[in-house]
Amino acid sequence: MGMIRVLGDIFRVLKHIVRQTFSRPFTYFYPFEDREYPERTRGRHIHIRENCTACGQCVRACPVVAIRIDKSDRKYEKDAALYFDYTRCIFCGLCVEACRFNALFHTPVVDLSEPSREALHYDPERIETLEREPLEWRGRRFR
Amino acid sequence: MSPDIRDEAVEMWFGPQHVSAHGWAAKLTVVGDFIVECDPHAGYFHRSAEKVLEFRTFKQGPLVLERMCMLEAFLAEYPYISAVEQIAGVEVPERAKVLRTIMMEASRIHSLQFWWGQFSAELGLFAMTLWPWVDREFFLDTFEELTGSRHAVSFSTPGGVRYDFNEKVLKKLDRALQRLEQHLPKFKDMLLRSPTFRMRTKGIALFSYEDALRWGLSGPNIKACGVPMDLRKDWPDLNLAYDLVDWEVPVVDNPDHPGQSDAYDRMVQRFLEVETSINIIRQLLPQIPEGPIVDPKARAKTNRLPAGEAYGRVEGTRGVTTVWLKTTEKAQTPYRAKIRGPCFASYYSLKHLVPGSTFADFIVVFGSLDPYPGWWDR
Amino acid sequence: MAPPTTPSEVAAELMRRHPGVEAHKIEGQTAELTVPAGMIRDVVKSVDELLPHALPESMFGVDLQDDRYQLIYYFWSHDIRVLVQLRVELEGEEPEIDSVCDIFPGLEWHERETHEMFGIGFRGHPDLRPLLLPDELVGKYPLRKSFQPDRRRLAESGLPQPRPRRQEANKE
Ligand code: SF4
Ligand code: SF4
Repeated sequence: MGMIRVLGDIFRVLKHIVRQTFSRPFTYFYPFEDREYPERTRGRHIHIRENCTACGQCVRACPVVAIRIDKSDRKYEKDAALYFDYTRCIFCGLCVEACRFNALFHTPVVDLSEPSREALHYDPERIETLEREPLEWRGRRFR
Repeated sequence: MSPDIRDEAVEMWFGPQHVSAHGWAAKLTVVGDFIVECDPHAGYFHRSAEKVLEFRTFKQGPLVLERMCMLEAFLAEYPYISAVEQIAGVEVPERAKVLRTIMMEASRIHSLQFWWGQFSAELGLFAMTLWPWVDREFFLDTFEELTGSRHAVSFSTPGGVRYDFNEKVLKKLDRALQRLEQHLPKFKDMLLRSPTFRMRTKGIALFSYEDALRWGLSGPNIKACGVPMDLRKDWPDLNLAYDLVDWEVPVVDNPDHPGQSDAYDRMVQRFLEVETSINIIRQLLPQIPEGPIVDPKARAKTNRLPAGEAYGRVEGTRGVTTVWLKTTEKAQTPYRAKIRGPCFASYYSLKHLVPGSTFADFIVVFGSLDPYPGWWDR
Repeated sequence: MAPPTTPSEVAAELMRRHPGVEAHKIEGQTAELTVPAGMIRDVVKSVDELLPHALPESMFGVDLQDDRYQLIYYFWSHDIRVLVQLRVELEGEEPEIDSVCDIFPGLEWHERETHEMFGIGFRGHPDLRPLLLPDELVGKYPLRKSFQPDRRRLAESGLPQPRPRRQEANKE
C-alpha cells in the first residue's frame, strides 16, 4: 500500500514539474517582449509639426517647465520647434490637453532609458518621429 | 522616568535605513527591552509642497497633491480641487460626480490592500504580503486603462474629470472587484485567525477614543474604537455622489475594551472599510448617468479665481485630509495653500503610544496606524 | 444651559464668555471667529469645553506681508458636526503667541512647523526644534512671502518672463 502512495506522490510531483516546465512564464522576457499598453498610456510625446501653430500653450501648461519652444525654427508655414526634456517631464498630460490644434500627443512608448542625461533631451527631430511603431514592435511571445 | 533608570538607558535610532522605515526615523530610548521614550523625526521626505503650490496654477495644483500619497492618488488630489471649486462656486456635471466617487473608493481599496501587505510583511507574514498585492495589480491596471498612468493618475480637475469611463475600464474594474470579493474571506481567515498575528497584535497600542482625538488621529484609527466618525457622512460634499448610495459607516466595537482599539481592531476595521468601499462602488456602477464629464465653462472659470478662502476636506484612507486655500483677486496661483495630511497626527502620536511597549512591538505600533511618510513631510 | 449644538450657538457662547472675540462668518457647518492674540489660551480652553470630543484638525500660519501674520486653528467635533475656525492676527518681525499644545497635544507639531516656516514664536512650547527643514534653511522661514525661491529654471522655457507681480493679500 505504502508503495502505491509513494508512487502516487512521485507522479504528482512529476506532473507539477512537467506543467511548470512547459507552461508560459508569468513574467515577460523584457527586452524582447513587452506587455500591452492601454491606448491612453501617457508615454513619450510626438509632435506633429504640420498642425502646430506656435501658440505656446503647451509650454505654459507644463508644470515642470519640461518643454522649450523655439519659434524662429520654421519648417512649415507657422510652426515651431519643441525641445522636450525627459529628465523633468512627469507625464501628466497637461500639454497634450492644452494643445487645441491636434499637434501634440502621447504615445505608448514608455521605456525611455538612455545611457546619459543629455540623451534624454529630445530635440525637434527626435520628438517628431517615432523610432518604432509603439504597439507592434514587441508583439513576439517567447514560448 | 526616575534618574536611576536613565543611567541604564540606551539611545538608538530606528531608521532611516531600516527596511520598515521607508523615509522616516525615530530616536528610541531603550531600557532593557522596553522603550521609555520615542522621538519621531520627520523631514526625510520633505518636498516643500506648500511653497511649490504657490507657484502652480489651479490646474497644475492637483498634480502636486497626488504626489503626497501615490497609494491614494484619487483621494489625495480631491481636497485641493474641492477648495478651488468652492472658491469659484462651480458645480461639476452629474457624471463627473459619480466617476469621482467610484474612483476615490477604488483608490481607497487599493491603498488598504497595499497596507495589509505592508503590515503583514512587518510582522513576517509574507504570504499575506504578496497575495493582496496580486489583487492590487488589477486595480492598477484599471487605473492605467482609465488614465494612462498607474500611480500618478491626475484624474480629477477643477470642473470635472479628465478621463471618461469606457467599456474596457468597466470590464477591468469589474474584474478587479470580483477577484477581491472572491479573495476577501480568504484574506480574513489567513490573517485574523492566524495565531501569530493575534499574538502580535492583540492588546498592542491600545488607546481610547478621547486620547486619540486629542492627538489628532482620525479615520479608521478612530472608527476602530466604535465611533462612526467619517467625513463622507458628516461633511456632505456637493461635488461627490455619496448621497446616491445606501451605506453605513463601518465600525468595530470590541467588547473586550469598549471605546478603545488595539492593533487587531484596526486590522479588522480596515477589512470592513474595504467591504464598504466595494459596496459603494457596486451600487454606483449601474447609476452612472450619461452626459459630459467636464463642464468647460466651470473649467474656464478656474483659470483665474476671485479673492477668497476655502477649506476642502475629504475622508482619506488614513483619515481627515484637508487643504486650506487662500486666493487673491484674479490670481492664477494660490496665495497660500496648507495641506493637512492625516498621518501627520499618526506619526506624532507615536510619541505617546510607543513608551512602555517592547522594542519588538515598535513596528507593530507604527504599522497599525497606517502612516505614509508623504503625508507628514509633504 | 444646554450645550450648544449648532455653529451659531457655539459662536454665540464663545463670544459671550470672551468679550473681544468676533464672529467673522458663520455658514453651513462652519463658525469662523477672530480672536485677539492675548486670549488664545482661554478661547481654546473654552472650545475644548464647548465642543464635545474636539479634534484639533489643523493649525497654520499665513503671511500677509508687511510683518503681519495670521494664525488659523481648526477644530472639528463629530458629535455635533461643527467646524470651528479661530483666526489670530499677529504683527511684528518675529511675533509671539502662547502655545496651546498642552490643551491639545495634537497641535504640538503644527506649532513646531509654523515656527520653522514663519518664524512665529510659541511661548511655553516644550520643544521648538525644526521639524521638516534641512539645516541650511533653518532660520530663513521659507513660507514667508519674502523668501526667494530658485526661479532659474523658468528662464529656460523660451517664453517671455512674467514680471514678478506682488500679490495683495488683504484686498477682499
Ligand atoms: S506631460 Fe506634463 S510634464 Fe511632461 S511635458 Fe507635458 S505638461 Fe510637461
Ligand atoms: S504643440 Fe500645440 S500647444 Fe504646442 S505650440 Fe504647437 S499648436 Fe501650440
